[in-house]
Amino acid sequence: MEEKATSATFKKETVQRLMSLHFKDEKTKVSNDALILISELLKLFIMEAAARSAKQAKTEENELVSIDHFEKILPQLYLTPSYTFIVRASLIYDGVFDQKKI
Amino acid sequence: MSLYGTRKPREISRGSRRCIVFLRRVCVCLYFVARPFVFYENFSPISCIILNFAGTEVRQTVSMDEEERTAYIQRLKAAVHYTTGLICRQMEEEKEVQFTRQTIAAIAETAFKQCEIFAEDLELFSRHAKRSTVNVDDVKITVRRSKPLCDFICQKSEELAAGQQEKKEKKKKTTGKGKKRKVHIESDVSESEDSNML
Repeated sequence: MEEKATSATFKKETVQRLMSLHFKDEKTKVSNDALILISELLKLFIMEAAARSAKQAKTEENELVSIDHFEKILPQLYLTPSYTFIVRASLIYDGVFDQKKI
Repeated sequence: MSLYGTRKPREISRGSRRCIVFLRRVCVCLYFVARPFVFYENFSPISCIILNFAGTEVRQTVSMDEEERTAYIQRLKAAVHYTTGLICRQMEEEKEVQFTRQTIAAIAETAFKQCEIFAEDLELFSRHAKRSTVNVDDVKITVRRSKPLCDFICQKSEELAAGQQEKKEKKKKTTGKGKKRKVHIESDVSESEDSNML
């Protein structure tokens, strides 16, 4: 179960190139640990966006998550970057968090 | 009598003619040799002047040709799109919903834009600390706004640091002793996870 939740991650090289593309100074590099953390951040961001869109679709009683659902959650995703939703969900998945305590 | 002497204006000495011919040949060579090279930023000003003379356009601002840059960005976006697709597929199984292709593409595009914001912030923070390498501390400051995210990142960084520490110890000690320590540290890490999030 744990492996299922964390199997899709960004490759270090991809993240390195993504960061270098947007750095104003070409000499700026990223440390190895920071790369791992940034890839985790990006993964969380995508998971958050996907989970919120899915929730929006479910409240509209629709099994197909269309771009309208994503557009609706987009402002809140940017304004309140509280990744509580996903962080808790991932921890439940890992079995660390006891579901009764939430 | 003319002020400039008896010499005709167009008369050039043999030596200077040879110089001009030589320079012309250099410029032609540079035109054909240097033109395919796209990294213009690292050239010195003198070589830029020579290249300009030779007819190559020297652009100081971009390090890549415009077309190459757009192709590079497309490749990166495709990589992001692929990983986004994988993550969304996992979400589909968890939430029992179906994501449309446009949704996945939109999420991938948004993630790509988010990278730009991250990169800008990270660079600024590392620059403020007078470093040229982005550190774990820079990442922590970037996510300081959201408490759960901050805790998550701090926890991950501690795990990474613990993993590195254990690697160092493994190198120092013999293999037998190293394995015992690894088991001990792993149990410590899982216990600390519980205590942090409760």
